[in-house]
Amino acid sequence: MESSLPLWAALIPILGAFALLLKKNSDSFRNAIVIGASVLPFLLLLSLYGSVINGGVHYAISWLPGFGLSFKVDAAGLLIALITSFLWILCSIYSITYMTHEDKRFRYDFFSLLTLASNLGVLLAGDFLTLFIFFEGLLIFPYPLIAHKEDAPAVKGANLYLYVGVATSLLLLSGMVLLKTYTGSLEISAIAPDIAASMGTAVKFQIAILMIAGFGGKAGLFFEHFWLPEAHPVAPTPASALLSAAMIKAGAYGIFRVVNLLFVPQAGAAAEDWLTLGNIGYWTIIIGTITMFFAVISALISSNSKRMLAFHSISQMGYIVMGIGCAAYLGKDGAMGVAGALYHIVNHALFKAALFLGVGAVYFRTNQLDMYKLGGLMKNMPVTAICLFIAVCGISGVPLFNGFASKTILHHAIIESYEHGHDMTLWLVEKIFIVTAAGTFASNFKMFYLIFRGNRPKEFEQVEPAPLPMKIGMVGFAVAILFLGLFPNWLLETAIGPALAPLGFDPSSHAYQLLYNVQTQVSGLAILYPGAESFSVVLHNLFSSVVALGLGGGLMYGGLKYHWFHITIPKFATFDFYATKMLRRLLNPWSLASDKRV
Amino acid sequence: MEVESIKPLLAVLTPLIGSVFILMARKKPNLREGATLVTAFVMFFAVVSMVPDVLSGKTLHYTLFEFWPSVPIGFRVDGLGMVFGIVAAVTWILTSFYSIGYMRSLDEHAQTRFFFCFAVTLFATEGAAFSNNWFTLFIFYELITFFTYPLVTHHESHEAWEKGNKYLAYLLGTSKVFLTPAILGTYYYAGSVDFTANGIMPQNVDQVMLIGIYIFYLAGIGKVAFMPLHSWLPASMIAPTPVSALLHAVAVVNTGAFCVLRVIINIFGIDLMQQLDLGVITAVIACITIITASIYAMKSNNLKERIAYSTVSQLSYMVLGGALLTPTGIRGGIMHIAMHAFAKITLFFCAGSIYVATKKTNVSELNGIGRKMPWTMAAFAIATLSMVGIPPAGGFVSKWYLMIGSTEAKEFWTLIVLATSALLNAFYFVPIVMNGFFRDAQDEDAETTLENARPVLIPQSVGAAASKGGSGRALAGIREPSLFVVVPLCITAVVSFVLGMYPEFLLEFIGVMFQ
Repeated sequence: MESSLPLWAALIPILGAFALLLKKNSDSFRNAIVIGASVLPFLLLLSLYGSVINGGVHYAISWLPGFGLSFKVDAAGLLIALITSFLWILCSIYSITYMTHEDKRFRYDFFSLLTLASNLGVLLAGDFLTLFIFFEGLLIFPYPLIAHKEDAPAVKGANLYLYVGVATSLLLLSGMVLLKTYTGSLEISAIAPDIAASMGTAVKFQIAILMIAGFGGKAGLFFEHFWLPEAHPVAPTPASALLSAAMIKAGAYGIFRVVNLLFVPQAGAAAEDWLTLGNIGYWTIIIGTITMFFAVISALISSNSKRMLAFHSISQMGYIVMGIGCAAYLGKDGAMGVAGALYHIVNHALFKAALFLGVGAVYFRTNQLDMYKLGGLMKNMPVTAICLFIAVCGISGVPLFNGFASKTILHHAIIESYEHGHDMTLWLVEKIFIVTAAGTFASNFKMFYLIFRGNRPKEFEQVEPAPLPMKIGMVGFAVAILFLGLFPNWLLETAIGPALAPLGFDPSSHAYQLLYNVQTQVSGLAILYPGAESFSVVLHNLFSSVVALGLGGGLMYGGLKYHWFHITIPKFATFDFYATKMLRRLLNPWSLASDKRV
Repeated sequence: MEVESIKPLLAVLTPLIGSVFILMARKKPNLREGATLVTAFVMFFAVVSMVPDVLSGKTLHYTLFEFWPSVPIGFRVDGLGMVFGIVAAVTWILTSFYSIGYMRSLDEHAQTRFFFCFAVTLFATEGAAFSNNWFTLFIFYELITFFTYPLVTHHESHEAWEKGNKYLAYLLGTSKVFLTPAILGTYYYAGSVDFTANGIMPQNVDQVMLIGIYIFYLAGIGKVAFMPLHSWLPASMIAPTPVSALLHAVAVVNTGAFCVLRVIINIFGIDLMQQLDLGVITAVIACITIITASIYAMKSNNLKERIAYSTVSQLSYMVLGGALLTPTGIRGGIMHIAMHAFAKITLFFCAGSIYVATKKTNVSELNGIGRKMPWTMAAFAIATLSMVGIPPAGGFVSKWYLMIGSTEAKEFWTLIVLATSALLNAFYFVPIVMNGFFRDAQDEDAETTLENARPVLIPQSVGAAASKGGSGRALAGIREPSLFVVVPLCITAVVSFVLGMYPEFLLEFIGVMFQ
């Protein structure tokens, strides 16, 4: 169906941003505009649901900007766009009070709306050029959000963000140029297999590497992640939540499009095309696994809670990218991987936003981000504590909370992949998956424990509970987490099922069947339902979860008791160290003399 | 279709006539500047009046007289010339306003000479844009050199003379030693030096001679600032900023790139270039220049010098576009003339605006400037977007075409060079913007320096440290200079952005070239 609504969804926040200029200094006016400009796109996108399910929505304007913009919405894009604008609504409400502690609120609101517009544009774009235009918006507009405080760490984080962003977007651009030259098109559809065999598979790998690396910068993939723990935590909390929960997904979405759509062969394609896809998938799994594992280690030894959450964002992106890789590796049988990745995108958005907002609420009242210096705040901030607890359960994959469902599906996907080729590295990946889940559990529960339980330091005895708008934001996310945790099939049926449909998976494949089997059991509640068909599957899922949680619990206990979490990695072993050093040299070589003087 | 028309002559002669009026009105500054503005507008309309003809596929001709058998002095207007001509005409109008604001704010001496030379240089530039053969182009090429010399040495200080002489030595030296033999060689082999759509060089002559002539052309066109013949351009930054803006960002340097494109497209022709593999040679030189100049730019702390090195780098983009020898690449190269012109002139305008307001010339002194001069720095930011090539700013469109062109030509390494160069562009322009808006003005207390030195990417700088004690007062009382300065730079910034949104206009001109 042709409809201009996708364009409007991206345009309304831009219009809203400029409407802010009318009354720059009125707080209530600005709040109304910001919330209105986040709610409207959400409603517009929601109204598209019916037509998206029935074949997708597309729209093109040819006169702007030179090349023309085109929009194409399918179920996967719509799902991520919806969750993005949902996040923006709640975070905007939250920021009403939170931002009273900050100045330059106009600038914050202005660029927040522009970021929303760019983010939606990326998710709704119909071709890579349109996507790239919005992607560059997503590069520039968050800068003022990250650098909001204008102090040294904020500017440093923002600069790292910007230069990594520019560099990786150039990789993406190079990939697009190759794609355009070899296929003559930049449409987001399965065009890469059209590259004639005469050109060799090397070209395909070049395109895949360039584009995955290009999107990976935003997604925080390994080697390109080092900006993320510097940039996300220094922003004001609502912005951290948006960056970490929503914007990072633009990168995952791009990788998803490249791996799961661009390179998927059409019916009747040569076996070679499938092999190419499988190889791309394999390396995507590896990158995803490395990302998830090392990031969780870094998270365990962080004491700044926002920084820890940023590392978890990287780690959870590793899960998502691994799922995407599994789907490609499995070829026609990859339904499980895509389902898990998409589901985890949604879940991660919810619990990561809730975690940031909860930590932000604590920071708002105590002005303290170091979790080791907090404690016993349960009595002071019960609502925040409960919401944060729900989010912690969500991210740790505790049964009955949303993370359990998606992690279970992803776990199935990686097991599927191992059984597909019996590649021993994938067997190892499965074990790392479990260990990472354990680390996630340990570090998040540790954070919860340190902030809300234990001894309350004297200076925090008079801490007040979080203000109402912040509570609304947090409770909103907590409810969503609980809802998806208790009814995981709802999302699978309404959104992820339709998203799988156009991706060319074989509906009769084992994975697809299993997915629909698993569907009924991932909630963990299924064990209570009579007539659960494959009881063993349920038990198996619960068992993996219990193993992970048990390991995590042990890790947390041991860590807190024997101070494992206070290990510091030497500076020379961190990427950040070299990146910062290199950027310093690159950006102002003339300052070397002044360094020496100091 | 070739059409005889006097319009090119009118467009070229207007600034020459205007320059006479400028001299006559030397005693009345307002009248003098009025003459400049009227001339600029008249020339603009004269140039624009040729647009419909050119777009309908015609090539306008006007021959003054035959200088030598089959070497006439005359004009020919095609798509490439038109792009260059329009860009020069539009930017001259804006620069005129800007010069008035700039020269009067700083109370510069010898303003009549300044505006007179400016007008004559524009005469020569339009002449170069509309020349119908290398002989005419050569005359105008040299005229540009001569009449920009008084502008470069405007300050008449020892340094200005030294740098002015360097300027003259490089530009005249290359053109006398290399360009003249190249043109004579062309005449010897081809029997004429006319620009035709597919080149005039015969294919059946000694290849060594052809390659030699081509190399002489490249070396002779000093205005394109190939490394290592580039150092006149940073030296010329001693000139007042409007000169740097219009002449050393648009008119003079684009004449260089324009001449090289003329040689590639209209003298040798794409077929012959391909046959002799000359494209690759040119591309290698251009790419070396692109990267090396970017590194020089990163290393320079003087704002204008940094912009000048960026110009050196960007000029080679245009040449690279031609050297790729694919229609898309050439499109990108020609488009980049316009895209670069508007972005770069904005950057220079901003540098001048900052100088007028603060007397600061070093990049390291510009922290926090955006808060005091928001319009100037916003324009600078937009121009930066264009220079880095971030959509939808203009620079993206030309970069996109260049990149597609380089893959079409199967020269993948040029793709890497273009991407690297864009990154380097970001490295040397973006910090200026971001520090301008997000860093505090230099608070030069020792402890802040010590504290910031480690974790900050942009630590305090030498220049700032020297002016110790400025703490926070460094930018006190600074505000935007007069509207004559600020409005033109905002307009050029907007134009550079709009060109990215509507590149069709430019594409049509280039389209008619390939019909």
